[in-house]
Amino acid sequence: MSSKTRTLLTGAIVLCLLPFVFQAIGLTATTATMVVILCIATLGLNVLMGYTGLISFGHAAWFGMGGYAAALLQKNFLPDQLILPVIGSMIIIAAMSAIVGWFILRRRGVYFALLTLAFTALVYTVSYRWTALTGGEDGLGGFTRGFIGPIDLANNFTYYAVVAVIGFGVLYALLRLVHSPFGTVLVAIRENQLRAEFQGYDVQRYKLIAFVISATVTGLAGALSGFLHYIVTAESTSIEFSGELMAMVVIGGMHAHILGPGVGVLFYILFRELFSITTSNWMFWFGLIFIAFVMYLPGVSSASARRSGAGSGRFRRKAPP
Amino acid sequence: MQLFFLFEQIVNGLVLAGYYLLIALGLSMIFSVGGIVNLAHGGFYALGAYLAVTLTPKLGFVPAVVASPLLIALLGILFERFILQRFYREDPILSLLVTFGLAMVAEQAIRMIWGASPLSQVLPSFLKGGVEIGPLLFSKYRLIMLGVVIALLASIWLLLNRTSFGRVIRAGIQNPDMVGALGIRLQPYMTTVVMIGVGLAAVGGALFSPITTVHPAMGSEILTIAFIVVIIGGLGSFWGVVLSAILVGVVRSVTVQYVPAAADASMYILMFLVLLLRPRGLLGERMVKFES
Repeated sequence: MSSKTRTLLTGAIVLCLLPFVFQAIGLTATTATMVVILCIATLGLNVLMGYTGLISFGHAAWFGMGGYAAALLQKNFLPDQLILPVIGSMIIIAAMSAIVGWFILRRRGVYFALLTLAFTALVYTVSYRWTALTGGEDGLGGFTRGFIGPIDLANNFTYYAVVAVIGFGVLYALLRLVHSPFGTVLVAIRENQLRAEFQGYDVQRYKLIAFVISATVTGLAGALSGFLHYIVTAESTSIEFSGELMAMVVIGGMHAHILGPGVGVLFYILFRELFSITTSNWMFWFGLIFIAFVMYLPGVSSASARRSGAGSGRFRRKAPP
Repeated sequence: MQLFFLFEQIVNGLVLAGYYLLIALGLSMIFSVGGIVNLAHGGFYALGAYLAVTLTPKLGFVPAVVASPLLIALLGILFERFILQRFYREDPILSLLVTFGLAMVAEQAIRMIWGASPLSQVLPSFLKGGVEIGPLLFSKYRLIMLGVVIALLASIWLLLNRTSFGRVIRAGIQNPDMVGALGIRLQPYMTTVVMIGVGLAAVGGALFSPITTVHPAMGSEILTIAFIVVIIGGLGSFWGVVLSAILVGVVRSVTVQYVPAAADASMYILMFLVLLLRPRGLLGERMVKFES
């Protein structure tokens, strides 16, 4: 059995067992659905963070905008539909991320991360203030999960099944992607952009495509999340949420394995659900654990040691340009 | 009359600029010497404000505003020793992640200690009131703040440009390897830079506590603006940061008056315009290590 088949099999088994295991430990099907949705979002983010080596604080923006776009499409044009608004929102996110990415990707490294930070702040401001479009502070509600054919998705288990199938599809697609020649070039860019350029790859184009794929997958997760909760709020576009997504990817081990982010999501959700029972300050402890992970986790720092060999250290000898 | 009004807004914009400058300058210094993007900077700013509010009933307003930044500067030593020092040799992305986590922890710690509801700081009566200059009316406290910011700015400039300490710092920004070759360790200097940087942020928090609301998320709110100021000004440039803080402050305060809906968006638009025309900011220099 190849490693790809094993990964897919693991994914399928976990997706099948998740709602039952969650029920056994007293968590709801809605929480299980949220786990799958966050897995989709972080899988998308990891294409950029883990495979291309670009740190984005901007993925909450795509997540939130995906939610808004799908909800607005359903409310205004496609009543009682699920699949079409979701596809529509993915197209919108792809188009927007292509424009934003073309602009932001002109800068590299830290500058890129800071620009995504500013972009998220801008999207948050707009979705918070543009009450006519987004409902502002109250959030955007008044839509349904709709139907697929004759199947009503209002049932939480039915909706879980749909999200799980989509999640599996995303896993399959991204697995194919990262093992394709395209994915290999992304890893080459992560390891040493200059060398990838010298090999004759159009690095900028590869990065833009990775950016668009990453944003679109995260937007898809946002759309599904909107339908899960029947509401899209400005909080889903906040920098805090971006940071939580990043934390999940980092805790999952970045580019250790494609399923890494999934582990991070499970950790995050279980931590939140179990800690919020006893203390309202679970974010404090989660933050401390996140710091510990970045400071001491071998996967994270060894990856960086490899990368900083490319000449990003400050007090070390510079590598030749 | 219209023109006087505009002038008044510009002066208010300068006060705002001073406020942004206090936070952005420390951010820029830590970044250009240590190569660390300190996302926890807003946390120090918020802690400075909270400490000042807490100390005011015990010490009085002015001593509290002086004491709070000093305490935060001491905290900055711990921050540099135990956290930042591990990351000078690492990929800047790692310090980005760590300080982001730290910002999260700082905000939650503030919630745990002081509660989630906003606090208010009372201005002592001798600082209240206005000053009339010709037909214009300015708040006394805002003018004093502007004076304090200019004094601090001047002393930082003198420190960087007229002392041997500043010479090492400037050399460290330009070429850390050569500084090392001359037998000078940059790390002790970094401690001082971080102290000054987070201390300045705390000065901002303490000074502005009477005229803004003191709430747990204030740190993350100011951080985005501070970064925009640094990005517009150009990383590693003293005058770039000053120039861009003035630009952002004045633009914001004028748009608040004439197009209030666009006040928040104005600085983003400004940033995108500047980056389109000058990708490294107004006065930024090319620094290879931050672009890989």
